[in-house]
Amino acid sequence: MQSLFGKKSFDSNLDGQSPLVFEIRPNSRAPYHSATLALDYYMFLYIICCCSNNIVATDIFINVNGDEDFQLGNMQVTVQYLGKEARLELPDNSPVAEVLKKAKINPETVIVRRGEDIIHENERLSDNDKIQAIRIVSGG
Amino acid sequence: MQKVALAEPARCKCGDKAVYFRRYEGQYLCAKCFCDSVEKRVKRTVRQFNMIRPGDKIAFGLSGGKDSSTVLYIMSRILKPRKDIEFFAFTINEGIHDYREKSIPIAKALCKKLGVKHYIFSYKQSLGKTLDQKMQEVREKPNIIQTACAYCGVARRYMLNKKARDLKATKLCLGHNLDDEAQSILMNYIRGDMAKASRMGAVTDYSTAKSGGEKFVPRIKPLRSIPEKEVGLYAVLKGLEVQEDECPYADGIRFEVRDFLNNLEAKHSGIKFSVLETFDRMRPIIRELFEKQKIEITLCKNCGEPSSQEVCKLCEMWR
Repeated sequence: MQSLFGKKSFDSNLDGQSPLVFEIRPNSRAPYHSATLALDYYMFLYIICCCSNNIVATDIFINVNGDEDFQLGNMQVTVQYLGKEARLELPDNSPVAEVLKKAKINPETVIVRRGEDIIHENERLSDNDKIQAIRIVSGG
Repeated sequence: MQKVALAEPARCKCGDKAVYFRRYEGQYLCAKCFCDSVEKRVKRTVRQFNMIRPGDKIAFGLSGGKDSSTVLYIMSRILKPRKDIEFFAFTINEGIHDYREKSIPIAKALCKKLGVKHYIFSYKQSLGKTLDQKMQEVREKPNIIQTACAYCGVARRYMLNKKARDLKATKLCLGHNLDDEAQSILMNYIRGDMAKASRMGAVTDYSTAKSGGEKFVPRIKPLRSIPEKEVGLYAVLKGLEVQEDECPYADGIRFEVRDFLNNLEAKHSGIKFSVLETFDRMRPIIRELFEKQKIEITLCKNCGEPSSQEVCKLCEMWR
């Protein structure tokens, strides 16, 4: 989904300060029941963000009726699998399971590492994350 | 860029950061709780099926892969304090170029680390040729079975049983996990091999045979209730060095069944457990059926090993 307020417009308000990413993730379950109310909520956040010079709203998630993510912006994730590497574009804050689905990797056959850490399939990823899917099914 | 996340990352029930989401239980687990839960489940399986008895001498079939390394690692921790039980490990070298050579040093290193006696036996030494040589031979005769797993499976079962028996083992412990068991159950069903199905289970024996059953060392499978993914994760979290390469000969119906089950499991978690539990409930009925029609196990006229026919499968395929 296209960002309602682009990152650039907020960056211009930074005055050299370290930006923050404001996130409301799906499991925060915002109490809104329609897309219209969700958009009102975005406008409310927009006003808050405008009042604060050091907050950048780049990644906003709102859960509508508990089953739909309203996502702003896209991210790129690098996936390493069987010695190959692919760069995938997904909605911001997508979980590992979505990345595997897009890469056509069955989650039952791999465990996933981000750097040195093992991460679970519901772990949300960020822009430019690099993950490694380690194949664990045996064939011998 | 600094981040403010309003939703905390998933936590284990103990409060630590989760590394695994166990979908079939709907539970997040940290590394420690995950490993503890795997070990607990293995202990429960061993107890539930009475896999080990006082005085047992247990032979571990160790390939150097994640399953056999994990079962040896967990079981050695369980068995070490037991003075009434002896155990050792052995590796079968099939002679697969650029595959088995890599796993033997891994198996040796693990046994050294755990203080477990380790033996190595090879197809070349026992059967006169490596699997590579056998397959070379097979390819020159286009009218016979071409699948390497068919030849290797027969030879490996023979070697595991014979070497365990020669070393006076009373149990043969294998690293078969939940996925392997579910695959075998479906394969027996697909092939209509109910005799084999009647012998399957946590402890595989030939007690339904009229005679000759004593030549088989009963097999135990303590990992049968651990999904393959969890065995792999356990090995990684415990820092076990294991062979990751897939066998270059991997082919055949098992791999199709494996992919079928993994695709189902991804959509409907718990499927593999259902396959196993349903089979465990049906097993007494299947066994009873085969008790009535006991199979005669004779000794192969060539090698003297137990066989259901005059000449065993190994002699038929390898000699």
